[in-house]
Amino acid sequence: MPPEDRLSFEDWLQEHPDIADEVRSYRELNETLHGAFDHVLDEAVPFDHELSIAAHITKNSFWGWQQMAAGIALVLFGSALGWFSHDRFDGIAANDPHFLSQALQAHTVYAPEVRHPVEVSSANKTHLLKWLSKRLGNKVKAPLLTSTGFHLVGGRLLPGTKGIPAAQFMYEDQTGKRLTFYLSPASKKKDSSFHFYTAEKLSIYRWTDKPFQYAMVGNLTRKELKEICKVAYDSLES
Amino acid sequence: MNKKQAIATEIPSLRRYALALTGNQVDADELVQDCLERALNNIDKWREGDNPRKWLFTILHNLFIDGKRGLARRPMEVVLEKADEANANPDDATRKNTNNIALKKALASLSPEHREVILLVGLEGFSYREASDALDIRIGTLMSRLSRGRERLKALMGEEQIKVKPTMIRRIKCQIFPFREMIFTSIWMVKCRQRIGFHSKTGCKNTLI
Repeated sequence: MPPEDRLSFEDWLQEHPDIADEVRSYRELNETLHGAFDHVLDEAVPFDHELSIAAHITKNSFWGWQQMAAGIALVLFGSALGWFSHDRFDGIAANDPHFLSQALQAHTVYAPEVRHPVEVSSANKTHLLKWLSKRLGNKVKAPLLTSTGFHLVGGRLLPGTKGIPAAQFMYEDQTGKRLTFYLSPASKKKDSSFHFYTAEKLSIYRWTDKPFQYAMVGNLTRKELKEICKVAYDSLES
Repeated sequence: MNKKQAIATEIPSLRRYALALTGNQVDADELVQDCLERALNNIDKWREGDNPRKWLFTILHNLFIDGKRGLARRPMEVVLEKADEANANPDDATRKNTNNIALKKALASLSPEHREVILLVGLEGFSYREASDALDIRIGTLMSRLSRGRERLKALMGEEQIKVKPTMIRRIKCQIFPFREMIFTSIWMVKCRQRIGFHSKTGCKNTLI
């Protein structure tokens, strides 16, 4: 309302106390609304949203950033939620906003690594799992993916959100193609279904199955990755 | 500022609105994410220089009404969280907490149409004209929904405040009771006469209260 109108409106209100009461109660209501919901404005925007914008900006304007951007993860807006027919899944997205970005960064940093792709190789698998379980606070399993042609190379410990440790397992097929499987303790209470994302050439499936949240990252088609995730899921369950 | 940045600056408001509209952060964030996705896919249809706000809220509204999850069609799932507990002095905190819980439960009992107008105008500061454009309704419809909705909300909050215990933080589901609509319609019809008087005297038809 323009200042002039506001003044005459306030004057008018003084002459009409019943309406003034109503107006006051509406203003109070508005304040109550702000009091209850304004905290959202100060929250960090969840990763998925930021990326959907950032992806477009990056593609269009900052050519030099392309490579890095691939790492920091692009284009998550195509986040069509890939449901599998598992009853136990609840359809609610895990809400750790940095989880995907960390999984992607870890993939881009370590998957191309020739000499030291992992910290502990699969030759010491027992030790690796015991160590990661200890650091992540729950029993960690490395899914068996041999039926899909991928074998375990090894794994490593990584920093996750807020300094909570995360872990990455790396897999490789006969042609040297690599997959990474990233996991960190689940912050949300609910398990979730498989959610599909793409970032440049990378495909990601993410899901939560307490006590961990998982991300499978690889340069594969959605269909291929989905098959692998099914196998991984069954292997983790067994 | 390019188009995408202009969109990005609206994200916090979209999230606030979506949270108030859906009652829980999971639904809210999915709604906002779908909204941004659609916005980016249709970015060419939006002329640079135009305020992105109305355009984005229109998309959000359409998704809320017709979206694949049909949020507007099912009972709202309110999740009361830590944010509902203020950390000022304890008395104040308890009062604010009770208020917020009552508000959220009352919002859940409103019809989606009423919730939308109250939140667009009262929380997001839309003018009547902008809000009616965003919701694709006539301005008269908007105004009547607004006053009816506000009366209902206040009455519901009054009821809720009596029921709510300060420590009660849990998941609730609220159903919409059709008979309330009838009661409030009659209250509204009485109120309506006063309102018409007000507008004809000031000539302010598009005012923000």
